[in-house]
Amino acid sequence: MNIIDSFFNWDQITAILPDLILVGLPNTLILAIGAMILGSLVGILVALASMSKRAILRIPARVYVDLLRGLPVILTIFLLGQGLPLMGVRIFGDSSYPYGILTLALIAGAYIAEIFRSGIQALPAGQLEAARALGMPHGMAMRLIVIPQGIRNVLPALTNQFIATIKDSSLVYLLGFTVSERELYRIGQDAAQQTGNLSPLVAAGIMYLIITIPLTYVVNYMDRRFKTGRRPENAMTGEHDAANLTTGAVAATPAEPVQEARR
Amino acid sequence: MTQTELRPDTTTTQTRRPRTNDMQQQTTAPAAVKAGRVTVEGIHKQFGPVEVLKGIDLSIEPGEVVCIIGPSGSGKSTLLRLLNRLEEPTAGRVIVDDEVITSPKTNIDAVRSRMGMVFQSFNLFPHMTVLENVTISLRKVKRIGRQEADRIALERLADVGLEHKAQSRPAQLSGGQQQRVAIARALAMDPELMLFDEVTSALDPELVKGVLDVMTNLAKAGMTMVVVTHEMGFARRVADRVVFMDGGVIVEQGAPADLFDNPRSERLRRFLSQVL
Repeated sequence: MNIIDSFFNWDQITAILPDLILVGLPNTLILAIGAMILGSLVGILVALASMSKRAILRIPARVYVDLLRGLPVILTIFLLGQGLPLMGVRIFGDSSYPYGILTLALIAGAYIAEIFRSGIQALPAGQLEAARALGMPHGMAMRLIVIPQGIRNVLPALTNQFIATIKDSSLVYLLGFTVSERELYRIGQDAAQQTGNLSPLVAAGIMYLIITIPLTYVVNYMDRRFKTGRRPENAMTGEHDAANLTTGAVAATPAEPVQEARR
Repeated sequence: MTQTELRPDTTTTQTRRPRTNDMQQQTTAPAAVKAGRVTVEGIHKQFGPVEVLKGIDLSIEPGEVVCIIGPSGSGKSTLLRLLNRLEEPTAGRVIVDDEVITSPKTNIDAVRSRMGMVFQSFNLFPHMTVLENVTISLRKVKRIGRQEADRIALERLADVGLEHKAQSRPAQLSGGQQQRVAIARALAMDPELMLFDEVTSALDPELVKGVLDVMTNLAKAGMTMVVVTHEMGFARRVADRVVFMDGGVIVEQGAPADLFDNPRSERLRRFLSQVL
């Protein structure tokens, strides 16, 4: 068996493609998108809590972020995905699939909380002050002025997180999925084990890249458009150096919060 | 086009012309402003170990234009920011129209919606159009409907000569235009007091005049204004009273002509010799 045959056996790849596209791809997308939506909600709440003046909000938020960012994803998936039903949190019945989404969401939420926090804190203090000076209560100023800009600032970082979550979704099969619940990696792995050939895994890998690579470019494009049309270039610096704020020149890319290496 | 002349016209060398004589018809200030009164009593402000304000007493009459000058670090911006409680005083009281706004019971949002503030760094909301910048507080704070809010906003934008930029984004405007939008945004709330915090300091020199013209017209319309500025020419022409601060205290105050031509204190003489 030569190398080409091990990795790129055309028959093996075409044989697994229908399963990958019809079963694996939808499941991977449901897991990742569901986790991102839920994780973003968790993330924004935790981000606001972690910036709160009240310790009763701030401390639990910090603990949550520290724990879930500090643990290996595979360990968290086992602990939460199996632990929650064992603890009696059986809101989703016996199916392990929703627990997979929930676990991925809670992991993503910890990272997203830090992303939102950095995006909001990077805004010049003058934005909040101007809103308050117009008579807006704090909550309204956050909702209308600060948070929308914070989200725009962190779009690239959120994409990174989405890509990370897509990849993390390859681990939730450990919770035990039915045949129709299998996502891309599990389908590739099953086929690779049956045939002793790695080509199905290569096919699964290609499917991941088909999702993740265009995503990066789409969001980079959106980010550029936001910046040229909608944001003064020194909005990120927070300096009062407004003299060079004249036209809509393209901004220097805002400092992206550094994503910690995973696993 | 009624002009309220509530201001005690005692001090300046300037003659108050009716607004229709203004050089630019488009940049007239809104008619019939309500003018509020502000009193500051025994204000102290401490940032950590540093005492920035060391006992300030100041009273601003309805319709009066007060310019605060002084070296950087003298506490003039802090004093201005205390007037709408963007800073909280360590001691002392701020009273607006008989209401003690430094009291914990005060609904500060309601007080702020009656005061306009314009910042050195403009602080327009970059994710909104110019029109949305001006209407957002009308709609969300005053709960005025969209149509009526748009109408008010376009009038105020016309006052500052920028009606045609309503659909632009702030980033597409020059610094001077952004600052005029910021003034229109504050005026849209129909304030009785306007606070200006070094509003031309971040502007290219050729853009300063447009902003000062808008402020001059506003002063002529009878608005109560507190202006922290380095523009001595503006202070001399437009102010009813000039307050000179240094080291956290008011060193000297009076009519612009007196203050600029006959400074009594050594500190003011030294300051003027450096800036004029």
